[in-house]
Amino acid sequence: MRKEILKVDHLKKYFPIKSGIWNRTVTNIKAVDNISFTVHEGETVGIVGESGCGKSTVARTILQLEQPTAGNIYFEGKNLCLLRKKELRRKRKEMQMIFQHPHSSLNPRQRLKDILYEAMSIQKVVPKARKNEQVHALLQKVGLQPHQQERYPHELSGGEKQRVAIARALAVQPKLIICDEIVSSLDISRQAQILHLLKKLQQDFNLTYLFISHDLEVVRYISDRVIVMYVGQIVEMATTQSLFESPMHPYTHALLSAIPTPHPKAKRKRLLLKGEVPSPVEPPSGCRFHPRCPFATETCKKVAPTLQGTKDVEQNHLVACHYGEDIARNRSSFF
Amino acid sequence: MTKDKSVMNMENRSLISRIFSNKTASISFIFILCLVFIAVIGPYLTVYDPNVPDTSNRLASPSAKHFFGTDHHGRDIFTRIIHGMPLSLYIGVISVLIGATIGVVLGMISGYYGGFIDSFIMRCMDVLFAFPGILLALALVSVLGNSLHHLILAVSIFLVPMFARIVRSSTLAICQLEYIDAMKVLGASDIRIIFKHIFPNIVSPIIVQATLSIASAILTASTLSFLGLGVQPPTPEWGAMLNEGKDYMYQAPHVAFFPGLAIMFVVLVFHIFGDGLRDVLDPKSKK
Repeated sequence: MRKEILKVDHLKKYFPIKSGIWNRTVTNIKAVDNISFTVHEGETVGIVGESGCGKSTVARTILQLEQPTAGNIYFEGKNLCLLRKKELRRKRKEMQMIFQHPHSSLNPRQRLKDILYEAMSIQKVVPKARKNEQVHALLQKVGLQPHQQERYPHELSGGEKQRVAIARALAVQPKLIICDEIVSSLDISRQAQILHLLKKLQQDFNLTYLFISHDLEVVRYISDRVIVMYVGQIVEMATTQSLFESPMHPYTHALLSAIPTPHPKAKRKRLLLKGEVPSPVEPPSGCRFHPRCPFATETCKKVAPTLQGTKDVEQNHLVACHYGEDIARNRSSFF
Repeated sequence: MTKDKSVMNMENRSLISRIFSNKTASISFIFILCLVFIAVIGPYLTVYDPNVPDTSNRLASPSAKHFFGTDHHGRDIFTRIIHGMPLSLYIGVISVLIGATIGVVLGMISGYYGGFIDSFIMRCMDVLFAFPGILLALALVSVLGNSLHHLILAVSIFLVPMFARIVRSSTLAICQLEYIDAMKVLGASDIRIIFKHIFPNIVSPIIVQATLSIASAILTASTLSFLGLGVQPPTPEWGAMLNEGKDYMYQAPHVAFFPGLAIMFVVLVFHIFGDGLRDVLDPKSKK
């Protein structure tokens, strides 16, 4: 078993909705509601889910951009939520984030070399004398030309900007990089290039990725393990192979059947969901998926399922469904 | 490759040479230099004394002898405008500098930290906004004593809330962008984020506001001079001259016209310069 690098323990993040003249908290948006998972060194964990299911909030809370409402986050055994501001700033060197929008994730007034050099100087990772050398090395690592260091972000394409954002994250020599929808604003050929680059960098620097996306194919390509989220909770967590080959949660089934097939005449059964994603302000009782689930029973309405392992399938395959095993066993008859 | 070289040269050039690559900015910059030059050298070159009355020659129309005519005491208006220039520029520029600095810092702190700090600062600004500027200046001058610098202080305090508001809203917009989060994730200090990453990106509204404020500062200062605060007659101050001239509007319009023209010219030059400077400072507008 590899070393645990990140442990998220019963994390909750509620955003208060305030109203009235006293600004009293009326209710909460339960963006992330009680989730736990671990990430091991050197692996890539993908998080998938619809927009609004709390994927990005998980990322932002892990990096302490948002204070968690409850729960703890351990990075290499250290509880990040208890660190003081100064200690946390030093600790930030170890974990970096790459953002969704390449256009707004770079300061438009800084040249590429200034962007990279600033990252290095904040964490003091490279002596001043070697900064130029290091900037060149970083640009080359992410597939840019050294002469582009004089450019401003607006002189680059979206893919190139995303490469700069990757270089900036690498500049402080982190162990964990959280990628929040980093390819979703790029066209398909650029996506492939960036994903290749990430894989290569992972080998070169022994990086660990937490890869957030709504694109299942992208997650399948890059991840070792996948977490499926629905309305602030984890519904299924398994190795990529196990999840894509024998999904257990009906929601995962629905997601997988929504992947477009490249063959125009291929016929397949699809599990189409009815209704809308419920509001995270007042999530449904019991299992949060029950109003849309084709297999829901009375139990599902009352009792919330816990995320647990199953006997039949692989050990690490966890699912939060009362009938996960039955559904997986009788898969062929349903789909 | 040649293109890259030219881009590189462009970036390495100083601010001054970049100003001269922009037509609007360079012309208005030359005008400002001329104004400063006149303000410094001009008073030594004039023929008449700006403050000595010549009652035999009251309200004379513009002529070869008196370019802008004479006022109700027979003083040469051209001379008085030249002598008043250093004072007006000084009041305008210094009070805007002070007011903008305080306002920008408060606005950035307010927008960046939010919450209680934000509410506290902005409510204070609202109080300042609601408070009549003249009353504020009267109170300040009566407490601190009547002098030019207290007048400047009063004008700059008057300008603070306007800057704080504009800067706060721009800061809020910038804080939504991912590069601010990226800097936080890198472990940058708040001071670094505020001054290195927020400030350069909100410079254009500040510059526009500052150039406009120079105009209103000169006008406010002249209103206060008219009330007997700060600049005292017979000191040639443009606003005071304008006010004096308005009594003779029908008999001798030139008495009010030329000081007004001078104020308008200075204000316009600063405003156009601000416009040009904004273009020069924006890396996206470069050809």
